[in-house]
Amino acid sequence: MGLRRAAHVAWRRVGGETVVVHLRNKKIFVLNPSGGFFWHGLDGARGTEEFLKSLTFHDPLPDSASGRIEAFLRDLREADLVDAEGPPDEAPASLPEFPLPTFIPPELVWQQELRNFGTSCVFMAGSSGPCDTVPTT
Amino acid sequence: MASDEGELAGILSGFEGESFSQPIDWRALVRRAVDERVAPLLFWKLARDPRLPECERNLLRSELYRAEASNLILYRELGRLLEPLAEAGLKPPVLLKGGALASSLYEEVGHRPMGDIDLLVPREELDRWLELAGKASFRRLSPEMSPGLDRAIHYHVALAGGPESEAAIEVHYGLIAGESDWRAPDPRWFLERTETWRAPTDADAYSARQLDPTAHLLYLSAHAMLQHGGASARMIWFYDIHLLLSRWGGRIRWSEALEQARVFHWDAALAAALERTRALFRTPLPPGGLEELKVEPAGRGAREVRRRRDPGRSRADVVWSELRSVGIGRGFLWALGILFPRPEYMRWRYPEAGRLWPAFYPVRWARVLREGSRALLRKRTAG
Repeated sequence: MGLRRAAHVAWRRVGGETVVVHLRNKKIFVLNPSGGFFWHGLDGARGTEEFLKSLTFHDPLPDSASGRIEAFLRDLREADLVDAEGPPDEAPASLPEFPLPTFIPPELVWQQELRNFGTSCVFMAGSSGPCDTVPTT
Repeated sequence: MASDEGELAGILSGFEGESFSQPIDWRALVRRAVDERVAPLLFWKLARDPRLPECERNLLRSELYRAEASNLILYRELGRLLEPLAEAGLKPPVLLKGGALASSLYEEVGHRPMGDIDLLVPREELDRWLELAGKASFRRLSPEMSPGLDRAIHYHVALAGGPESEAAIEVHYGLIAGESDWRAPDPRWFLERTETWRAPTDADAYSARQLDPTAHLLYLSAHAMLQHGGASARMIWFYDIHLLLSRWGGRIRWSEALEQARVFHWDAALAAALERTRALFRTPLPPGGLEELKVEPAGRGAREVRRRRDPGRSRADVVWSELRSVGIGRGFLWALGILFPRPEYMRWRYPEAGRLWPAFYPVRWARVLREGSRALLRKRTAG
């Protein structure tokens, strides 16, 4: 089954990791470099089988690889970060090379809620140091 | 300089060995870093340092991710706001402070936490901007206290976007203060000194500009020392200046910066911001740069910078100072606005009041009276 990144997420590569934000529930997820590789390949045309076919290493893939990729994609689904519906992109981008010399399981390595978003003065009129020029009472 | 402040600045600028006390109070250091908005930077500097305890490491890491996520949302909303810009025939806006610098000056967008994104637009285009923003489902974050007060006194309109209206974008039509305030510069000088802004990713195709290094240095200095004041200025603002001088220093036209600082009455603010930056991060300044400013200690700018350095300033002091800065006529209008804001403002300001919002007028007056009396008493005691 092809999965695609959901429309309500935003993401960015930070060093080797990928930071994914669920824009509705304001949860932050961090993927390890391997997870980032699979994340960027989620264009609606790929599932576990397609990913497995695209992985080429000098050494054979471990038997557990399929299960680990499947578990990772399941985690993404459970976190509501991907959609299973909808047609694939017309021309799915080709996958880059796997970023590591051997297969490392993709994982969500960090989760947290985005609390206290926005420390703008207008959110905290008169209640904090940097906002003390807002003349509201 | 407090010891944890010195340690923090030392780590950020790479001379920690000389400034570290033993043993390091990591908890205090991390707390300070969060307060000063430099926690993501501290994590970046210490990520591989085995001395950093696990608990503090995780806290800093979490701050980095928080900044990355917040900035992602802010830039996404900025893109949404700017998308219809070209069609509307409006010029690209000028990004200020963090919104400009996070992607163009810092190594990673998340190293520069932002509470909002600030844009500068020509005053005469403000109405069209607000119209466009409304069409893109942005709304004003707060109603005006009284009709026309924003244009008369203030210098920006705060808009809220995002799925839960959590992303604030401030559209500035002036800088630092309202146009009648002596601290406010002619924004046209800044609008003429801009350069191409580097968006966070190539995919962010929207067009915006940023101040050139000379104009940005002036604005950052005045923002830290004259808008907020030294007592409440965050370390991240001086780190902005440190990075700007370290990376773009060669592009700063110092003679123009010094001359214009005098024209805007910002010479004391520029000198104070540069001194503070150098004290924190040992930032090299051009030889004789500070001396050439020849700041007059009794001048209006110097007095204001000193006043704003006082950590004991109450809100009443701040409001009084703002009222005086805008002159008698507009100050009176503003004071009226504070005491008798329009109903929309009251309902926004006191949501807990429900239908009883009119009852909060006396609450407001009592608070103004109480804080004013306290400030007067404090002045008398100090005097």
